Amino acid sequence: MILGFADPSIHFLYANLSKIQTFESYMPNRLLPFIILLCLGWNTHPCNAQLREPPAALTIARLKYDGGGDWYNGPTEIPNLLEFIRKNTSIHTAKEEAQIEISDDNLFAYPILFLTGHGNIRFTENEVRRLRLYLERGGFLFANDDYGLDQSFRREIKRVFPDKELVELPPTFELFQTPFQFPQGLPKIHEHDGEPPQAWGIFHEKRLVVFYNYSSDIADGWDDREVHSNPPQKREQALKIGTNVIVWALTH
Amino acid sequence: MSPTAYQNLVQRLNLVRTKNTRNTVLFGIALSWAMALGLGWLLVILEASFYFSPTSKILLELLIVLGPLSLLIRYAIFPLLSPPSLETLALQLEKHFGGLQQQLISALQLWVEKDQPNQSKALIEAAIEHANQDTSHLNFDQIINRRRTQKAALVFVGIALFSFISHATWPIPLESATQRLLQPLTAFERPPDTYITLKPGHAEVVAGEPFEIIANLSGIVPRKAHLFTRENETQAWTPLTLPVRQKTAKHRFPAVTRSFSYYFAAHDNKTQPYTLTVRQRPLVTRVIHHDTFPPYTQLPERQNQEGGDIVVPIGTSVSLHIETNKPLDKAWLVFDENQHIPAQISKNHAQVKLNIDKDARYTIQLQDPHLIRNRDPVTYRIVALPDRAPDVRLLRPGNAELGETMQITVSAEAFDDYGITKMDVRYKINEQTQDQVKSMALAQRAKETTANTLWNLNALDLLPGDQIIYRVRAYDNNPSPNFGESQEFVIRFPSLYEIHEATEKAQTESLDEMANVQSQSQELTEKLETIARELLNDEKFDWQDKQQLEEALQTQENMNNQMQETAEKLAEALEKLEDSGLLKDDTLQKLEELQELIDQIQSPALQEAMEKLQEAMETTDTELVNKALEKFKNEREKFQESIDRTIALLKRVQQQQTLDALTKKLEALAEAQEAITEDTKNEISPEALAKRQEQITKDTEQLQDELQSSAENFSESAPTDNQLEQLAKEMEQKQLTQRMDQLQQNLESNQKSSEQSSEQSKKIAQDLEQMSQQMNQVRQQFSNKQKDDIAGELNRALHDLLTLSKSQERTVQRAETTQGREQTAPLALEQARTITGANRMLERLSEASKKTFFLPPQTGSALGDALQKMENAAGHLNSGNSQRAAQDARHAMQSLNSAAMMVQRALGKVASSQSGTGFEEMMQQMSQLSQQQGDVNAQTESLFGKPQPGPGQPGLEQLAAQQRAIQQALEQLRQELARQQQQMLGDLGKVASDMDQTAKELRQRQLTPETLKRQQQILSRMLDAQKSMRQRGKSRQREAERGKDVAYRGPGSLPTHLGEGDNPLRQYLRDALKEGYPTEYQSLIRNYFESLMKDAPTKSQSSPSQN
Repeated sequence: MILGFADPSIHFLYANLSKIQTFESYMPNRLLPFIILLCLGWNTHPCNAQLREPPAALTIARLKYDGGGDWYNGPTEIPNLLEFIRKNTSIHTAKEEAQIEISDDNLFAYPILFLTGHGNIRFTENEVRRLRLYLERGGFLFANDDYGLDQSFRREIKRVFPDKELVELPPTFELFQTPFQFPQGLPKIHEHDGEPPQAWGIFHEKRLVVFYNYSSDIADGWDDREVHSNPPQKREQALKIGTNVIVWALTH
Repeated sequence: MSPTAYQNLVQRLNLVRTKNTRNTVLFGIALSWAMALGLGWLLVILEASFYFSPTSKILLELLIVLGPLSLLIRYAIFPLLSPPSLETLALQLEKHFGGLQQQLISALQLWVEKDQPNQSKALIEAAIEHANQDTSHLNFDQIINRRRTQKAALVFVGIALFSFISHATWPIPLESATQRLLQPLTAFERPPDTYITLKPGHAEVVAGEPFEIIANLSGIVPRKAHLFTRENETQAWTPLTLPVRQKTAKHRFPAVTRSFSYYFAAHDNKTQPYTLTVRQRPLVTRVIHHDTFPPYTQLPERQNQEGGDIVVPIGTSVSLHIETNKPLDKAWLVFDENQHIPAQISKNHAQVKLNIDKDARYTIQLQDPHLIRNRDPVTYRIVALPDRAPDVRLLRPGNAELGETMQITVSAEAFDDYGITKMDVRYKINEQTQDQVKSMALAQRAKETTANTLWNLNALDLLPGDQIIYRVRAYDNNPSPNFGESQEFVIRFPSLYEIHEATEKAQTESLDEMANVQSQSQELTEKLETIARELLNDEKFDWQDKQQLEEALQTQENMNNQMQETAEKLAEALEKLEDSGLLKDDTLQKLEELQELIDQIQSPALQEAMEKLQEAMETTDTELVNKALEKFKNEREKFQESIDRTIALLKRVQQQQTLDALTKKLEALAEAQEAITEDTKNEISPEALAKRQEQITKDTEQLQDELQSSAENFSESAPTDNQLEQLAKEMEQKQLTQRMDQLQQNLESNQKSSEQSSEQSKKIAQDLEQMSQQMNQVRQQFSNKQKDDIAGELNRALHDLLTLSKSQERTVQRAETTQGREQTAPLALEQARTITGANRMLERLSEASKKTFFLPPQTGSALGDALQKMENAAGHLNSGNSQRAAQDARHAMQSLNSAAMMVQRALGKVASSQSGTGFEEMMQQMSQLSQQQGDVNAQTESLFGKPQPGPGQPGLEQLAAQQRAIQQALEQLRQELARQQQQMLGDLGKVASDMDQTAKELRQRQLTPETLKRQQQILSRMLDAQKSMRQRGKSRQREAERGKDVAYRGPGSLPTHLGEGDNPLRQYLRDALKEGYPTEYQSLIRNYFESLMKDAPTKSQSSPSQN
């Protein structure tokens, strides 16, 4: 996911911050995106005053993966979510999504990756290592099972984090509480097999680095209304929970 | 008289009379109608306004009827019945035209009188003729009053138009009035002031559609109107007030879902109730599908899958069941390509069968018997999952070099979406283009599986330097199997020369590095001495002292690291040598012990001393520092001695190693030559033999050079040097290389018969064999001489130690019986002599320890301890303290005895080392057993799932017997290994019990997947054990199993560990070490990760906790 930066200098700044270990030694990883966000999106922070250009826009980077799955599924999803975030929060977002491969040199310029689809995912060994590095250095992966993704995603994420487990997030988890309240936890957006919706996560040093929703397909609710004919309430729920995830990723 | 004129005249008059009559009738009709319509409409208007009583209505209606009727009679009927005479008409014409001077009337009268006698016919005719002529130019029609008729018609039209407009303007009141007038005898109530016209009245709509009610008001139009609705008769009417705009009140229901009744009320009027009937659209209430998967997936049928999204493997047959809210007329699926598939209908159920062959999107279209269709059907997806080719990953050996056994274990894992059925190794030798295949035993037919095979490459007739490019292929269970392959790797068959050269180089480098450490260590010793002296002079431990000591510790740390790297490099070289079979058992044993010695150089005591010194430096307590420094210096001395000893030992082993290599190479040459001798009889192409002979020739030339250079290197090791030189000369004298060249040429040119070539080769082989034996003797002599030398030295040392011990014993006895300084002084001198002897003893043992591994370092410690106690005893004797002296002297004697016992044990080991341990034989046996187990596994798997022959016939029972035989052989081997205290990583006890269980199952003909799996585990453990034996406890076992996912559902809260496992750096380290990097790389990797891990706790501590 991007923080895709319209301003190339900011882009460069973030990319370099992610590579400078000495910086990390002074600053915990989890604070990096937060600080960047403050500089970019929230006008209250003094460092924003130093930027002559308008604040760079946040975007989400869609992850292009190999293995046969339709990573490109739902082209209107991310733009709609970005628009919703822009209208309902103070985060300045871009209008379009970015698309990126793990091996791309600019991977570390995007703080949030979005992964979706129906089919198989396969990471190469190099991608496994790089994705882990990305996530450990402050990145965030938002994975959405659009039905049929579960088995291969779990397999591949296990390769990325062989020492960690996907843990189911309880409804009391703070991600479900702000900025929009979901007291029952992850809402069910799209019906597949009649299973309850489930939200899973992977933590690194107590920071949620992977958010994976299963049997809910919340990204379907971001699509244009005519794509799935979801009721307006469902679409709103999907956009709200999506916003919660993005805001969580940026602030933790 | 001509009648023509008269007739003409009359004809004209008749014509105009007819026209005039017609015009008059038309006038009458128009006038009467105009009057009737006018009066009638006037009456309607009056009725609408005044609401007449029945009497008034009758009178007025009579008036309306009589008036127009009288006009009709007067102007239409009467003129028609009584038209005017010609004479009247003539008079009208004469009056109209004038100037005719009554000619017309006269003519008509004269014509009547023409036959009278007194009338002149001629005059009459003339008058008539004249009248006719005078009127011929006149248009008699002019007397017709058409204008009047037109006016009457216009009046009628005007009245009709007025009526229409007024009706359109006030339709309701006027129509109502009309109705009342049409029933004159009926007394009507006065109608309301407001008239309501409601649309659409009774109606039907589809559920969800909008519905609009419009009320047009007339008469007195109020500002508001009211709509009343109710869903059934039991409910009260629900009012809804609506504004009236432009005489219209309306209400729109955006989406009607249920039927209801309604009426409208405005001012003093209201409509009758109307009914809106709502018809529901057909809609899908539930979609389920039953999936019948293709056989290759081995998946059971899946029933009652909720939802219309279908994600199934290609080839799946799907039965889609659709439930709707109402009975259907028809239903069908619409796909992206506008393809329609009709469904079978049964009331409110529809069913469609699909064969999934590609991705698609579809909607479900429904139509009910009222032809109402469902709206905005949901788009469902069909995802046809392709059968992917398996992913294959080689676990071992990767790129490797082939050892002496020519066997290598290939292990791979494969993943498939539905199942792996077969795996094999595909390989090519050197430049071959055609793949060759070696099947692998599959652990189980599953989605994720591993396969192993013990690959015996003996049969491939490899030559040194040959390369086998291989990869592993796995097939899935599709009827048209897909396959995936691992990366390509290379197994190389190195020549003995390469191995020897490489290991020699590694050892030489290690020696250089150790020499470097030795030099550094000496410098450090001097530096420490200086520091110690300065510390004694300093009153306070200052910053500069600390700085110097830290540098010293750092230097020591660096030396430790260098020694660690050297140890690993040597270990790798040793492993290669073990695999190559280049060295004899005793040499290998020495090398392994040397390896252990190097590992012990960095003793825990040294490490502890360094830590103590570090701690003391932190306290800045000079006394503590001095004490710790002293301890550190002592440990460093041992470190120094260990290095010196290791270097010396390694040099000695290298000599023996060189002799071993020479012997092995000569043996290999003799064998290779013997093989050529045999092959010349076996119809093998002479070209191939010539090529092999060429290689032997080259190797022989190289060996000859090595012999010569070795002779020079062994110049101080008489008589080995002479013997080596003699061997080199003998090789020259026998002209081996020339004869080999000759044989090669003969083979290439094919000039000599195979018998001649065979004979020629045989002689060369015999010479090589003879030299091999001579070389072996040289090696043995050298080894024996070394052992004799060591044994001699140890014997002398033992003798001297016992002498010293006896001397010390005497000192003890005399000290116990002596008192006073005068008596103890002579004893002190004697003790001093013993000390001198013990010092010489210590030096001699130190030298001896550089020649043998069997003398443990503790021997030196024991002697050192004895010396210390002796010095103490001497001091006490000098001061006349005989009791304390006796006590110390006794301790010194005990230490001497302890050292003597160690030397004695070393002597025993030297003696026993002359016989081989038999280790290689056991290795070979283990390898054969593994091979046999692999064969049994393959045969068992081939019988799996097939009908078994009857009892007593070969099949599973035969395999059971083979399995049992392997088990027994393994048990024997295990006992032998236990006897020799050989350690193995694998648990052979468990293997034996598994074999027992497997044999039972095979005998009972119970062949299950579990049996096959267990057999694979047996083979895997045997291979591991074999490797373990070879590595002698240096565990570098590669872990083949991957971690499994652990499902976790329905938490009330997050787990405290948040799913985070071990420090990932440790996992990375483990992964990295599994990759089979060279030892020095492993060392670098380990150091790198350890340095990272040191930082890790700091980071995690500084990370703020969640939330």
